[in-house]
Amino acid sequence: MSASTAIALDGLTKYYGDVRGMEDLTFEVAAGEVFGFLGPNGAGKSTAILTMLGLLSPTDGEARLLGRDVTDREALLDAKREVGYIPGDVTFYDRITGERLLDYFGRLKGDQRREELLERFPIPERRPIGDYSSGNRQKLAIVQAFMHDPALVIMDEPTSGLDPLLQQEFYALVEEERARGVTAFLSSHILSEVRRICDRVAVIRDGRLVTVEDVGVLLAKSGKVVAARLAESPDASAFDIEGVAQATVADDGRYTLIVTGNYDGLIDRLGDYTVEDLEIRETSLEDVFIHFYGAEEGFEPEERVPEDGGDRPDVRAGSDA
Amino acid sequence: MLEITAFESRRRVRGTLYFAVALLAYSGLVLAIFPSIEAAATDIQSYIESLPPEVRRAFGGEAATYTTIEGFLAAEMYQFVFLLLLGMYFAYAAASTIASEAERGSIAPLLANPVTRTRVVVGKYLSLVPSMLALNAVLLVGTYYGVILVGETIDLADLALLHALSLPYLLACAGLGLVASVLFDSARRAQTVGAGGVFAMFLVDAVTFDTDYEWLGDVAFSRYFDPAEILVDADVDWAGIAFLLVAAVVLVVLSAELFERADVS
Repeated sequence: MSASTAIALDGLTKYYGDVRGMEDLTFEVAAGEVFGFLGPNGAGKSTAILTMLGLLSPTDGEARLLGRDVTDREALLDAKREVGYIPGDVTFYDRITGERLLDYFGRLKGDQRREELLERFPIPERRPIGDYSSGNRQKLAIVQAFMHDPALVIMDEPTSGLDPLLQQEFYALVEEERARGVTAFLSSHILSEVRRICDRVAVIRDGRLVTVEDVGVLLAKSGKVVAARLAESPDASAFDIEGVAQATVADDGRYTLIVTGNYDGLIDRLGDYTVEDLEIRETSLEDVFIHFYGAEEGFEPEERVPEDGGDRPDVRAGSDA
Repeated sequence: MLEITAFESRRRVRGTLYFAVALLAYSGLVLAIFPSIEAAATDIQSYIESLPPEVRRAFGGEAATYTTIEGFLAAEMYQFVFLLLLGMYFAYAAASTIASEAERGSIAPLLANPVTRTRVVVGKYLSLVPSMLALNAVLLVGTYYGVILVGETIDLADLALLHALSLPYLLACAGLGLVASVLFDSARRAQTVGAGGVFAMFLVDAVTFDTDYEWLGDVAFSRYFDPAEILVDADVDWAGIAFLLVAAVVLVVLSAELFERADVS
């Protein structure tokens, strides 16, 4: 592990009794990287984050933040001085005002950037936090996470509850911080967000690491999506051929094939049928996830569709997403 | 160092105020009854002497002292207010500290700050101290002037000593609540165990007193703090006070260590 490693997990494992929270997570996040941590709800994202912050003690393995072992009390304290955290389910103290919460946390860790952040993410500071909307709570969480100018920010679904404009403001903040060398680690299931801001992603499923990949490489490796409508109705297994990683058929009879190798086999096979419609597009992260998780287990449709409808330049033909 | 204590103490101000008003009202009620007790002193003393010795203890031990202002206050107010009411209140309040934050989920963002868990536990425990001091001060002043108001006199030094010596007892009770707070994720369970523990100790102490099982009550905090002895006889069990202070420290250290090892989510 080099000095420029912000997060290093080595065989990190957490069992709750017999229940697996996560198993054998091993990856590193470089300093200055924006790293996405992806998986459906219940996959173990929060378990991993809480363990990294020293809140859960690992059953096995090791986690280091900024070079410090999080199971060592003194080292953890040292690391936390330079770490910001946005909790997944933002809960502070309902009866106190946002201002007092920031005063309190400011005394514990510093708040030199507080005013600047409040200008970008304004909240009703003088009102009790219990009266805040989920968006305001999230903004408060963002302000407190960044106000002490941390070197590493760990965020559990940081944009949940934010309206699209504030999401953009948040992405801009993360990008500016990255330019200053700050490391960002964020769990998410909003794929447009990951595509927009992350350099690399780790994908977790059932507590186990599926892959760690550069976002671009992940997409490139994932091949193309061929969508076809046929006059006949062959079983999807008819496309269980070389070069086709996955074949599914939708209720409306539309075939979606993910092609990772060469097209020859597919062309031959399509020749056996009457092709009524055919389109080829690059894969989106959504397709990659369906590939990893299977359609049933994958993401809910509303989570797959980018809220601003943009930033998907790869969609050339009409998509059925 | 005391940021957590300062923050948490401030959150207690309102509750402490309400409680202080309630204590004053109770003190006023007890003092308002006293003149009629004093007037019937001879009858009451002979009545108490006619009771079996175990029951007599409920009147502060000696029949002769029950009808004095010191004995009456000790028996009718301080036994109840210190040993039960305030003991259970601070055990309950201490039990709420960590457990309620664990239950609500606000503990994770707090612990993500550069603070050790020990500091959080100790800071929250210490936040009870201003409340203990304030309640004692209000009750002391209120009772002292109340006594004067009903035309009696009481030695201010003895009364102040009694209030001061309640602190080790209350600190020990809070220590018990604190252990419950780090053991349970449910605030309600921690509060029940904390306040219930104080009540149970009081009962065991009372029930086993002067029996063959008196040793059972040796673990009860209430055995080491006797308001009647202090107020009536100006007799202080300094070893008992030391025991309570040691118990408080041990319980806080135990809580901190348990919390350091706990999983928090």
